[in-house]
Amino acid sequence: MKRIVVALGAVVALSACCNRGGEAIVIDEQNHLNEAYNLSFELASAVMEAENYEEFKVAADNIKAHKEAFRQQIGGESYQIFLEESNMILSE
Amino acid sequence: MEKNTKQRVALYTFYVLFVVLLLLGTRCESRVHLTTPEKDAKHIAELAETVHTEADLRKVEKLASQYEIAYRKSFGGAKALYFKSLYEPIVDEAGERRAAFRAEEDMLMAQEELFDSLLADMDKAWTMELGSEEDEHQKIAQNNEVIAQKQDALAEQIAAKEQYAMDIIDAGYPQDMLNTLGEMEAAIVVAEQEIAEVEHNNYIIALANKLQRGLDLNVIVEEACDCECDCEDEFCQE
Repeated sequence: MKRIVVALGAVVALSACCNRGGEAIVIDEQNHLNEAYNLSFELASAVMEAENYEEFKVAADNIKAHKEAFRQQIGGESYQIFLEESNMILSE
Repeated sequence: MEKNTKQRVALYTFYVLFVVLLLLGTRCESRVHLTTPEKDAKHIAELAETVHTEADLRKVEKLASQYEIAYRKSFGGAKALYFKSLYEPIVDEAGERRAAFRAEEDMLMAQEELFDSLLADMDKAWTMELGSEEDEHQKIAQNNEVIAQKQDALAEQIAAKEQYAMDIIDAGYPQDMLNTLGEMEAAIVVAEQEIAEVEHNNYIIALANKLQRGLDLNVIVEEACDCECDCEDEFCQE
């Protein structure tokens, strides 16, 4: 019984840690339109300027995480702007 | 004895009430309560303003149709038609609004797909093993040849299909010929996909060279020619 409780506790703690990791990126709700423009430019430029695969992976994961944050937290016009601006730079 | 009769009467009354309530309940669920055509149309309009999804639109359309049927049953066709004339423009407008939302959703989906594919292409390009510069030119040149061959074959397929379509008209649209035409169209789609695939391969090769070596391979290869010849092409002279 004790073992089960300990195992359950570990699972709960782990899932809590995972959730906290997922919420790391917080988009400023008061300024989300500007953030969409600025972050898309900054993050997509980082992807384009990567000098090796490792740098690319870090930059790509970062922009993907921000895209997801925009989608989940803001959505609408700002999310669309983030995607459009990012795509414009990524396809250069 | 008298007590038993009272109990029975109470029990029967309870059963009858229960059945009546049950019947009323099912009828209430499926029926709409009519007021006046103007008020009911206003109710539809209020609901129509909240339409955002396809399901919302269907709900409004269904409700409007239920009202119309109820008007027809209760007051006859004239009033139902009057009600229809009030609600129809409202539902049409909601449909147009929904179509606009759908267009926005489609555009957003296309942007999402582009975002994912751009990053996936770059990932592929970064991890692609490159040969010598000459090998890379060679790969693209070979792919360009394949593309040219496939495009010639595609042009022939399209011409044959168009001719066949004319033959079908002359023959009076027989089913077997229509089936063959369908197969020809499907073959054209496949051929177009094959060309797009080779073109995409070239794009990835060029991107890999650009990212890993800073080399703009596409321009060189697309314009490439045998520079030993007396080529007057501006690029070759450079």
